[in-house]
Amino acid sequence: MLAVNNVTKKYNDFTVLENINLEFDNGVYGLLAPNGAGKTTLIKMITTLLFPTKGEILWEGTDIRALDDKYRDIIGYLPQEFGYYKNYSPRQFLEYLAALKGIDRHDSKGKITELMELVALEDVVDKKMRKFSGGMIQRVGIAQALLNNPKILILDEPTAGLDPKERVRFRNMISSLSKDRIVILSTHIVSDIETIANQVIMFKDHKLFCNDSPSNICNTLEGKIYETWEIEKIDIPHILLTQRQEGNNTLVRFATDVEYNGEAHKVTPNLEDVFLYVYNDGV
Amino acid sequence: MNIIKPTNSEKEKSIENILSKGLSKPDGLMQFCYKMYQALGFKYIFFDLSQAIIMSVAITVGFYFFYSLSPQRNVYSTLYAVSPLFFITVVFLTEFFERNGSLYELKMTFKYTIQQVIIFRILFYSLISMVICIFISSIIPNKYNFLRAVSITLSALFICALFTIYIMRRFKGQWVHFTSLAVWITAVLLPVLILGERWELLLSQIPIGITTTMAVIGFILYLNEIKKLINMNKREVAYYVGS
Repeated sequence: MLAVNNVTKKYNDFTVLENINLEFDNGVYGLLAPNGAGKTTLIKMITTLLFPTKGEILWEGTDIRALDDKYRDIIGYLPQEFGYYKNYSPRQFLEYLAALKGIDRHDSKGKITELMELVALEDVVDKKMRKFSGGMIQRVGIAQALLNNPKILILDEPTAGLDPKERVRFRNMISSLSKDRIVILSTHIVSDIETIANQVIMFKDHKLFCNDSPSNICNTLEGKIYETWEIEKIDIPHILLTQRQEGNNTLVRFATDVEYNGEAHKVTPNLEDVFLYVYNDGV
Repeated sequence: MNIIKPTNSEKEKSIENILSKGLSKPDGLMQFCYKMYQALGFKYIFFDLSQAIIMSVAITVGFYFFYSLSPQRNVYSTLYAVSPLFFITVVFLTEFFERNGSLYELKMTFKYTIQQVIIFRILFYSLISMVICIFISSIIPNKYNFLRAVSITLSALFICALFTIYIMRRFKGQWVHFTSLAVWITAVLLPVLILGERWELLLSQIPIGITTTMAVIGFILYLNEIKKLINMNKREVAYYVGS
């Protein structure tokens, strides 16, 4: 189990995260918050790129800094901006990263072939990455994160650059991978985690706002979400959520804390509603 | 029941024994090098560094070539100034490319961090630089003393290497790879530029015993700094993360 205990991260006087407590077991955990809320900072602390100003992060009861390379040996990380060497093929590149991960050369060859099939890049495994699309590079990034069969897989904005088909493929892959490992997924794209996350973690005002299942989080807005074709007639205090154009009409979704019986009907809240409602006033 | 109680010294011995078995010992220099070489080999330790290495060789060779065409020959002070040049440029350029590459952060999360790989590289560069120092000292005209020349060049090399490693170990920040250049300019180039003929006179008259002692002390202190760097805890990747 990975435990984040009373973790605070400060840069001089600026507090990025304050007193965060989290526990991770096998499954998918979605970090859902707007940019600047501290998702990447938490991820960088879990990957040992940053250290908490206060508190500790424990793996199986031992501080991850004390575990040092033993901890780094069990993590797989895809950073937000994944760099690569243009003049090398995915096979050469992954062989290099596998060596840095301490994987035996013979083992890495088979693993690379297997992973290239998993991310559907087996046809270009020996082609230089110079001509790869953003989605293909991102898939190489996902493959490198899986090279050491990590117990903790940390993905920072992993679907950036993926087309809808690749995104669906990615979600299915993450679901199957999460059966025997912790997957921590950071994103501000709600649909990425709505379907695959067992737990959704949200931050607000630099503190932990919630850590619950998507359905429980959605239930917090039960009875507060409405849809109407005539938003101009809504005369109670409300927060506009989304709009959808249908012909000449606009279907508007809004949230209100007041019981409303007028020209709008109640709808079931989804995670996007919660996101827009919670972060209505910024981070 | 008569239980034999251990004496205080026996207790101390037992504690020492338990601790020595339970705690992992820090890596020695040879152990570190062997481990890195076994895991990565030269192929991956110097992966994608050909550009930086070629540039360093070109700068060093260009500097020597420029010197050989120069009519004024302040041999000892010139040797002192140029001997660490390869070490300085190769450490600066490889560090510069590595730190400004988009994979630096990712490589700090691997079992063998780029911080460890860089230490191995620096050690290797210093070995190559020692060979260069001995070579350039051996090709100077016969009227100059080889032992004096080699001890001067090695002293300059180890002064640069020692301060470069010390600053890398003590300070963090994105500027730290500029250290090697700053050290070369302040510790090596400035005396040559400011004192000129007087520096040449000093180097040509100073007892060889002193320059040799300086080179040996510099070498020992440099190895000591490297050992400290090897066993230094992994440090934060120093930058502000805004999201």
